[in-house]
Amino acid sequence: MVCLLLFSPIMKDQAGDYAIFIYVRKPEGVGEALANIIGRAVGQHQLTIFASPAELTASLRTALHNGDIVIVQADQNTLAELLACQEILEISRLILILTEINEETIAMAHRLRPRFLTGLDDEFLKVSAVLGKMLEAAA
Amino acid sequence: MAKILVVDDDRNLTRVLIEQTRRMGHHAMVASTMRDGVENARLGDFDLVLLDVQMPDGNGLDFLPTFKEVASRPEVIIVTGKGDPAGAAKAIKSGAWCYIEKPHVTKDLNLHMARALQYRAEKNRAARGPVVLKREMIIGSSIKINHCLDQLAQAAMSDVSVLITGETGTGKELFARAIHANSRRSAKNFVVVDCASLPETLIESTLFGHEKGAFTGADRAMTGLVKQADGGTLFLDEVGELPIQTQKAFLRVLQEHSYRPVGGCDELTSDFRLVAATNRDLEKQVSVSAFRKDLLFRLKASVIHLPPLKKRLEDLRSLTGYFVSRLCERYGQEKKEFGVDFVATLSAYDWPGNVRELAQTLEHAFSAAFHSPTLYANHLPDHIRILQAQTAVQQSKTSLQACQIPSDALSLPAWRQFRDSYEKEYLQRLLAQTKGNVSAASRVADLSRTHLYQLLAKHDLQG
Ligand SMILES: Nc1ncnc2c1ncn2[C@@H]1O[C@H](COP(=O)(O)OP(=O)(O)OP(=O)(O)O)[C@@H](O)[C@H]1O
Ligand SMILES: [Mg+2]
Repeated sequence: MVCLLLFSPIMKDQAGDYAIFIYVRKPEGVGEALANIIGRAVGQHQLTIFASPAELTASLRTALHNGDIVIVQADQNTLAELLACQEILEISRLILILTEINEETIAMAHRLRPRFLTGLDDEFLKVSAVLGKMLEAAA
Repeated sequence: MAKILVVDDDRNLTRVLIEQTRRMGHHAMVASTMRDGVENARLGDFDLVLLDVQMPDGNGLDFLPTFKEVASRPEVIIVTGKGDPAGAAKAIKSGAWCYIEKPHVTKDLNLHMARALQYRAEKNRAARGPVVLKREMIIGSSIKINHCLDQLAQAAMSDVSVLITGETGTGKELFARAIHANSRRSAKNFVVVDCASLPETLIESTLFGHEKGAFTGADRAMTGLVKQADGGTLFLDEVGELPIQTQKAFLRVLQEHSYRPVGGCDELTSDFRLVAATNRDLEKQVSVSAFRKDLLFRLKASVIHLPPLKKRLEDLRSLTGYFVSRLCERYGQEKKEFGVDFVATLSAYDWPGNVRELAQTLEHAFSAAFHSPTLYANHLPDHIRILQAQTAVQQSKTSLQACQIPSDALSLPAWRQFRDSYEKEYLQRLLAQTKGNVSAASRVADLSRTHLYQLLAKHDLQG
């Protein structure tokens, strides 16, 4: 299960909202719920849904800018995929939501240097709060 | 800063010596008997001893070998009231650095001291052997950055807490990671605590974890970051933002190496190495009670201060080359060249956002020059090019005036000073006109909000 959201101040539209890219892989509902809840916390947003990890990384390579905020919901396989293309994410500020929690996934997660690491929770309250504070500082 | 021990019973002279060493940036301590002197030398780790000959409880020349043999193996300079050739010969044979007579001491000491300390620093470096430092993408070879890399190497070898200070975007996080990567803990986790983006309500549970039931949600299984850093490094980023309540709890962890999760009663332990970073003046925060003095004392066991980019412009070319080649790789492009004016224009700007702002600026320039094999100054944003143009005009104006009316040219302030005062005046008027609304101000000024915030911070203004 993968869900990735990207907040890009550079892609900001005239109204001052952040563009959000989202990548969802099974079950689609979860990613959308996350996007909606977070979208509500930060205002309007633009959604881009990618169909495959390859499409996503290709797009991130050029869509990601220094200081962008990226939110990824990830299991162990996704972490491995992200570590394989770590240099793409390096310039971003990463929020990681782990769907599998054990010593190994936590160690893998820290290699991606997240600014915030948390577990999956139904309402994404923590993620919304942290994201809100990050966006406030970047405003 | 070196540590110096002054062994002398002449109060007036010791006062002068203390003042003189302090002015050279060193820390000095006095012992007024031989016995105290030897004891202090054994306990403290002194780099240099200034040793008198005639002391109430002994002769300095007799004790010289004792001082030379204490653990820190200090250099010793003999300071004598009555010089005699035999004494001087004995001193040098017993390993003294040099022999100075008191009437000349204030005049000669600085030079001898500087040479002795330089010799000692080189000897220590050689003894450590060449340190192979993993630079972890830290670019630059200026004297300033090399000095910081030396400090990094030193810090990586031990387990002491390190405080990294410096303006925004100077590379504090990069250095923190490099300390970890070069330390014996590198195989374990490097855990980032972003104190600036953690809301107060979450900070303690994020750091210390929480007992089941203290919070709802399925992330209950998550341990705190302090535990995740066990065996590794805990990086407290923007430590100045840590709420005062949490500072207290954290201090306890540092002192006792144990802590309690939120809502729990069992004590847990974690063996982590602490690295903290801040762009704030923590001493100032201590003075207004916004930061705990005892915590600051613990954090700054070792301090690395990263210089702003404008103070190490020698590194601009290599940094620019590095960032542009990474962009080329990222976008699958051929290597790009720089026009002659490109780096010159970058050098005229003062980079309030430091290396991060440089990276962002180059990203803009790169997209502006996407199809061009060469980056020219006109690919750079206006605010940077305008400054270069103004600097050039100002320079030719100044040199013109200097030819005609030299006295007038001398009364001109330095360019930076002149520009800063106008910049500040502009910002004040801008804020007044927009009633302090930063969004409106950034529109009027046609500056990004980030850039505007940086300018406001630079001049201590608030939007
Ligand atoms: N010496 C350097 N060589 C290469 N890149 C650097 C250097 N210094 C900083 N950078 C880059 O600049 C950006 C900012 O660096 P970093 O995040 O470490 O700064 P910081 O001091 O922590 O800033 P802030 O106070 O805003 O958090 C990063 O992308 C980093 O990789
Ligand atoms: Mg930082």
